[in-house]
Amino acid sequence: MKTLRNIIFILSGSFLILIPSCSDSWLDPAPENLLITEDSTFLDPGNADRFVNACYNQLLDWTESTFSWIGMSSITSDDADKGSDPGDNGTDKDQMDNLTYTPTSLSVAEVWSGNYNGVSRCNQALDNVPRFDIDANLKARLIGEAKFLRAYYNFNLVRSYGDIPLIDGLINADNPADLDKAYRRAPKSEVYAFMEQDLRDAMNALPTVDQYDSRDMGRATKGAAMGLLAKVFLYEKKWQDVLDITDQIINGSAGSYALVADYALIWREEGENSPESLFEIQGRGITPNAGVQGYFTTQGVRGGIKYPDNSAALGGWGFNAPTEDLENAYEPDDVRKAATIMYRGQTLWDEATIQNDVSNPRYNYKAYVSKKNESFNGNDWESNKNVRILRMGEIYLMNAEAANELGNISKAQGSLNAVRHRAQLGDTPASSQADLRNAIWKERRVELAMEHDRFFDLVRQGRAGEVLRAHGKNFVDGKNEVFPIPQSEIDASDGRYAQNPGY
Amino acid sequence: MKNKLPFKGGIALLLLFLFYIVHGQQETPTVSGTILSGEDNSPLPMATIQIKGLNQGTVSDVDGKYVLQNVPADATLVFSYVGMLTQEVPLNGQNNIEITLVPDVQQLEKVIVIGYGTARRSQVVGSVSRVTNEELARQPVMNAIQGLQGKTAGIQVISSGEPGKQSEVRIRGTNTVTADANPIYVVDGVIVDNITNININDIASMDVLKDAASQAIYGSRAANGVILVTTKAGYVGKMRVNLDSYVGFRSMTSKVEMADARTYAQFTNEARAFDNQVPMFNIDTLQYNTDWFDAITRKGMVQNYSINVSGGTDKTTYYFSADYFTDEGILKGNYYNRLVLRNSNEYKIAKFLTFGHTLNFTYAYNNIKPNVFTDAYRIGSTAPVKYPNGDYGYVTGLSVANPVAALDYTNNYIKEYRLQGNAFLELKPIEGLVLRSSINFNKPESHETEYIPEYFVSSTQQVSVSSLNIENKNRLFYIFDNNATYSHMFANIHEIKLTAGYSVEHDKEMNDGGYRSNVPNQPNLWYLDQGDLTSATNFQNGYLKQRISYYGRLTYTLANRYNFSGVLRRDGSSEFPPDQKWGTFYSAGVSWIVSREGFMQNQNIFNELKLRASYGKIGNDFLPPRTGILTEVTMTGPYSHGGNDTPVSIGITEEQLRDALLTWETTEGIDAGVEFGVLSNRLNGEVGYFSKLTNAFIPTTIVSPGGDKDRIIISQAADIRNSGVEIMMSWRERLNFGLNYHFGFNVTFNQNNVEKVRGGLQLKDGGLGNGQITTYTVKGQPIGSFWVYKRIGIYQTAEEITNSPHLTGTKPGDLIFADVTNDGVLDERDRIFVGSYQPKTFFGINLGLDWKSVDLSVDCYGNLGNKIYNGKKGVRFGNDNVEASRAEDRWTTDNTDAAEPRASNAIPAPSTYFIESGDFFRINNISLGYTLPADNWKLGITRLRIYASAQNPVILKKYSGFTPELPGSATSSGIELGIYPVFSTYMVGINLSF
Repeated sequence: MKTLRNIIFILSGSFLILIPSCSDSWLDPAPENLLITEDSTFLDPGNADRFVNACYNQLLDWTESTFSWIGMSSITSDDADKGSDPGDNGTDKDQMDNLTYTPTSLSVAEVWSGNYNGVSRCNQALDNVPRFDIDANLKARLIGEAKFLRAYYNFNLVRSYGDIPLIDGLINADNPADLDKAYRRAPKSEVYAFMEQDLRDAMNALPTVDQYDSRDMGRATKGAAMGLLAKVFLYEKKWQDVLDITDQIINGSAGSYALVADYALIWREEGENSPESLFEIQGRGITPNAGVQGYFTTQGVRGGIKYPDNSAALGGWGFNAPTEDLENAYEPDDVRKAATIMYRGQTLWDEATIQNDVSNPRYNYKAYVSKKNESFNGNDWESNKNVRILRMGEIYLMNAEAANELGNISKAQGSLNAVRHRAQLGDTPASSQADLRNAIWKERRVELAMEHDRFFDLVRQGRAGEVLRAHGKNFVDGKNEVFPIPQSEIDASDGRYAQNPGY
Repeated sequence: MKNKLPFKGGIALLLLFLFYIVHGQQETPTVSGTILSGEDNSPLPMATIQIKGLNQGTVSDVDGKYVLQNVPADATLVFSYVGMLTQEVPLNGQNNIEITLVPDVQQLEKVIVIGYGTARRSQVVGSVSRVTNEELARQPVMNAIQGLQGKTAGIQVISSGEPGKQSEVRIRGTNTVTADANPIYVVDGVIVDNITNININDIASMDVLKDAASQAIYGSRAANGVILVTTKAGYVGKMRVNLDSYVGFRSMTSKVEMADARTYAQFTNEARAFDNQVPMFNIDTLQYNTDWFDAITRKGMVQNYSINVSGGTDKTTYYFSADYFTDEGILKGNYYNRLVLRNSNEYKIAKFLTFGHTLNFTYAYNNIKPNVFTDAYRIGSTAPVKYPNGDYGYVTGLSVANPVAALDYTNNYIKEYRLQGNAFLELKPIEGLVLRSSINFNKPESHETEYIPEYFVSSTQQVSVSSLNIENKNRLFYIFDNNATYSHMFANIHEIKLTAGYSVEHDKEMNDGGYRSNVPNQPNLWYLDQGDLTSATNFQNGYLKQRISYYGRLTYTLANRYNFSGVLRRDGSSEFPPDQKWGTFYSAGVSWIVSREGFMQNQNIFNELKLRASYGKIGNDFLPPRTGILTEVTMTGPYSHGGNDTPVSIGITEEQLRDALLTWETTEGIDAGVEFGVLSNRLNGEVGYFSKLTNAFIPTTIVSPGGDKDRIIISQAADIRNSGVEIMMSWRERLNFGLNYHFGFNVTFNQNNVEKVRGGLQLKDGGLGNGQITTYTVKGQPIGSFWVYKRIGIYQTAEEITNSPHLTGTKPGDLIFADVTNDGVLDERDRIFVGSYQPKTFFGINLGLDWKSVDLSVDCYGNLGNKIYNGKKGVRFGNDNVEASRAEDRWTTDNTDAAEPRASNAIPAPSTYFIESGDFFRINNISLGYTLPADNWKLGITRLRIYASAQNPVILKKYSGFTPELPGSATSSGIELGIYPVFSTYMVGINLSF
């Protein structure tokens, strides 16, 4: 018994002493289900591409392209009303419609944070991609794509808020100089210069749309970069630059582009990534879904919409309803009206009929998704709808406007008429610079209706106040050209951001 | 002749045998006697007399007399009575034993569990409260935590009401913002955060460690408090069998009355008129008037059957129990079943070596129904549950789901299996030294299935494609603990107890699941295989946490009068960045048993008097997982390059800007108290003061351009203090005519305050789900203080509106908000602080009395001084239903002197209109029991008690909503948004012991 006892004591004693010696590795296990940068991240060349895909993915985000963006770019304008039921404000879409938004409005905060997330992802891609050991051309292309997207996000920000923090790289919270960048509202001109540089770099690095593999369809192309650069120049009123670039695009040196014949098809699934398109946000409505979150649902018909067999077609919340003013802006015979606006009681292209008891008289036809005739797997939140960002219709109109500003009347008329003819309209009657300017501006309105351009276009043209006040909105000059800086951002910056005047 | 000898011998033996029997009979006497109470020498009825080691005994009658038959001559009788010291008297041939039992009032000598050991109450230097099985088991509750409410000061239990859900517990206030504020539970050595798997009948006691000094032995996890659960084990003695069972029903109390169909229709038409919309209803042709709460609730039946068997010898003791519990809940279609099996054995292998194990197996099946109380609140009373043709009813123009349809069309159930227990080895190599090694584990597992069929109720309530979601969770948590305890008494007055040990922990969880659409609506076909392959998605994730801890405690007692106790603990956790993995926690305290001093022997006031004071530093590491990882590469959503025929592309990005200094939240606390017993220890009480300061992690908001997607950095940026006073009193008395009663009262006064704040603190929370916030945590106010506009009246005319600062869209009949800053503009700066959900005072009252065979107990609990935000009233979708009181006295152009604002579909701004008092007083439980004299029936029954019990029968509250108990996170509690009403349970039950 005593021997047994002694054995037990010796064993237990040694047992008790041995165990604590395994401390360090025990407290430092490799994190489960978690990639950290010290890991094999940079050993896998496929990851270079993935850092850039994250930049694209932000385009699908609700805060980036949907409700808040629709509110700020469309509902604020004379092209669209809030829509939906009168009692449903969509949080603040009534404020957008009436221009009564404040620094605490949700849409104002979401557009800011959504686009800055985009900028941040692009900066990460630009920081990480060079570290990979991959083909030099691929690396250059990926960097070009990230720069294009960074410019796109910055363009949304600068048009919306005016002077904005200019983030040109990763922010290291321990570095005060970096933090200063985040807290300083750089003047618009700096931001525009930065975007120009990004787009030029992108333009030089990106292949044309014809040079891409079909599996890469949808990525930023040379044409996309040039188109966005032209638009940036347009906002800066650098007319010669606009003219030069749009000429190049039109004559095909940036890739094969052309106006498609049937306007109505542009926004339908069969018109996705057509020769007209320079850049679209790709929506995927089959499993696994990767669609623009809620883009269709927020604008779908509110109320009954049925197929002849009485089964339900796809509807939604009914926001962003086209105005009567827009309806009246179209010339008779303009095919674009029927492609842009769908009416209460109308039978649509896929035979669905909007019932007579729906909440609003008009809805955005371009956002419509057909359950029967288009890709749909039950997930209407992430539908197959691509959001068209840049297309030839706009390129031609920018070309016309620049030519006109430079005094080249016939060239301006030529480009303008190209767009009009596609819409089954005759030549423009305008022939003086002033008349032509108005005609081009009006053409922009009806050509690009409901495509997130109107409000910013009016502001850049300098007549937002005049037009919107005539429409019944209380646009205050010197205030409403830009949106307020979100209050939560001002608070988080400890007051370092100054608010835009008037808010 | 030879054959006759055995026969003769046989007869002789037989005669001897018979003689022996008779003699034995005569030698085994009947023992009788009287039992008196030592307090006043009066007879003591219902005292228990047992023969030690045998299953034989009796109880004394009303005169204190007892008679025991067939008692062996060498027997020992055990006399016992509740509240008295048990006495054992060997017979020694006597057959008449008179005995006087003395009250067991020595509170200070009671043993309580203090973590990794036990101590006498006199030695405890911190604040520890014990709640015994008798107090817990009086209330037939599903989870033991609910049984704690109101039993002792300093503990606030907030229950929600959903079957199967564990209540939230706050010990001496909330002192964290981002982390979980619930205490940890130590059950048989395993540290767990969920004790819904414990059958309350298996709990022997719960000891609550309330102050930093007593919590310090658990170091890095203890900042919210520690509740030590001691379960029943075997004992040396004859096998005992106990059966407990009850049956009852639950029904909804305190319903909020909603407007009837006509009132609702009028209200809605009026509201729409203000917005220039056409009326939605034709008042004269309304067909239906539905009470939706009635439509979705029922009286739910609750049943519990429990049996346990225990006993043992000096070599082995055993305990086995089984419990089956079912709860239907008050929501139609909901039910929860649970089976708990438990086994606990101990083996004394040698005098110096003991081995033991405990295993608790739980199986629970929970048929979950979505919480449709909110839908029932919002949907209009003009719609029927179903139309005559069988279709579900709905209100056109209102996007609220038909709650009955939502219940019917949701099929969601979880099966949970949980294995918990331990195995230990104890060695006693030399006198006074105990070495203990144990492995303690908790292994929960769950499988959840959710099937939603394709259905159509209305354009806003429809599902176009059926879906099946499966989720499995699997976790293993174990602690391997080794410690040594040495106790010794030097020179008869120096008592030393030293405990030292270390433990190693491993916590790993894996979750996986899948989804498919187009699965048929038949339960036997709810498998992913039956769905559409092209819709298949799946996921798998998990985490791993590991810890190492070293701990030690020294207790020194001098002359059984002066105690000093010190604790030191060092914890390391894998959750924190490389340089921040270790933390040191400690405490020290003293106690002085004044009543044992010489100068106290001649006074007659205090039977017992103890003073104590302590200080400690502890930690909280219940932070959101992965907060400590510096740079994490995460997957973003996918993007589709190359059209629908090309697989999606995955994106990755870095989450950055975590706080590199992240480590435990530390809490420092002091505690001081007086414990006393007076009037022959009939009145026992305790008065304590505590103050604790937590260096809390606050989510600091940074600007979006900073690059962090959620804009939050968690860093230690605020100090939160909880300080207060606890008072506990308990009175026990036995009156002459056999009536025993006790009365207990405890009250806690607590003040919660956010001190010192660093950095850009933007802790606005209490979101209502529509973008509005209602709480703001700032310096100088309690956590989660309500921060709202101040309502000062109702606008009568449009002129009044234009002449005063107002929010956009205000119309006559809306509330007037004060422009507190007087700057002519009504904005966020005009919000005021109006209190918080943290209660200033909470108290409990416990009454019990025993008279002959009848026992009655009443337990009450109450809260004072806190506020509630009636959030559900403040969320409007447009055209939704309203409470009857809201519609009744509403402002119209004919009723301008109204209490309520005008009928409106606008989303109201958060204001004092929605703030109500959270004061309430509730009778938690009333139980009335009768003990039948079953031991006279000679069936071997030692106890048979039947009882009737009402749980939550009465609640007196000022709050107009459903329930004043609203659990939530620290910055977002006390807001009634989702509704789960209070319900009462009425049951009858039986306790049977063999």
